[in-house]
Amino acid sequence: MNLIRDWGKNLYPCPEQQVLSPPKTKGEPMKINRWSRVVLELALAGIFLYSGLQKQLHPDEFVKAVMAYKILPSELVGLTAATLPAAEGAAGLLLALGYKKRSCLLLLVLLVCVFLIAMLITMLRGLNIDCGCSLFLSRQVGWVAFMEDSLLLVLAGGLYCQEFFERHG
Amino acid sequence: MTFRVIWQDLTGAGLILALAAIFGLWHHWPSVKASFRGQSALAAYLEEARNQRRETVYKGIPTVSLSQVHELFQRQKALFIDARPTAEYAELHISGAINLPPDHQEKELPNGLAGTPQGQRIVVYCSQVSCEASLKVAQKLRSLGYTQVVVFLDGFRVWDEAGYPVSLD
Repeated sequence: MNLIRDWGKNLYPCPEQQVLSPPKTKGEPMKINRWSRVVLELALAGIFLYSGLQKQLHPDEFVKAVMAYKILPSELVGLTAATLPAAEGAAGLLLALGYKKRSCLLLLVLLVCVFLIAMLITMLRGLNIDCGCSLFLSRQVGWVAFMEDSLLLVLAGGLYCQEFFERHG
Repeated sequence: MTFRVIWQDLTGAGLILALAAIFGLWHHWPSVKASFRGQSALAAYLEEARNQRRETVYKGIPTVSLSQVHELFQRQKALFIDARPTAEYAELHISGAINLPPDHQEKELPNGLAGTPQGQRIVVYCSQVSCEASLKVAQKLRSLGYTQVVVFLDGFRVWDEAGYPVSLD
């Protein structure tokens, strides 16, 4: 028994298609090739898993980053700083393993929406702070960080739709 | 059907989030407890955590106070290095200080430091006590063989507030 091949078959039962196939019914999104979707899901999972791990390894810096936004009361700062990295890491890990993929993608969509709203509020206030969302280098809250996270939102949302219509379309 | 599936996915996402919250609370309970006590308790916790981490990561790097730094400046006994970003250095810096941010990529040291004897007393500073750039640069200089490197942790803000000499060039 080939575990990897069978794992792939169980997770992605759809037959091979062209890179982009036109939708068969109205409202259904264009379908992407199975392996392209696997690569995108693994890339997304890797990004959030790494991000979550980085925040777990430097918890006090993330607490300071959450405080710097000045959105939450101090009572919720610790809870948020404790929960978000674990949620990112858990969603990334489960997505990479292929378990509850739609739930993981939906959670990532919700998390990124929260980040985007927080960044938007901060930019409107004119605060120049570290976004607390960097992977390798520190980034300030601004349109660059906003656009990067927007791309992640589009990716996670698009993959969720693909998974949704594949199973229930 | 569609809403039922989305509801199931949301429930799964909520479960992952709840489990992540439990893990996060258990792993970061000290910071969560401090945040429930209020902003001052959280700030005190973060400062203690920062000091402990610095003692471990930047072990052996001596620090100097404002009065000690001013004395070295007046006696012209030390070379001053500004570890802030170049833009901040260009705005204002301690008179005679050389700019050397931690992410300095060029192989050659900046003018004023190249050719400096390794026994030369060097004072490194950045913006304020929460900034770690000065510690990173001091560590880098020690790795290059400079033996008399000290860090002015209070930073440029305290120097400027004390009214000591600053310049633009």
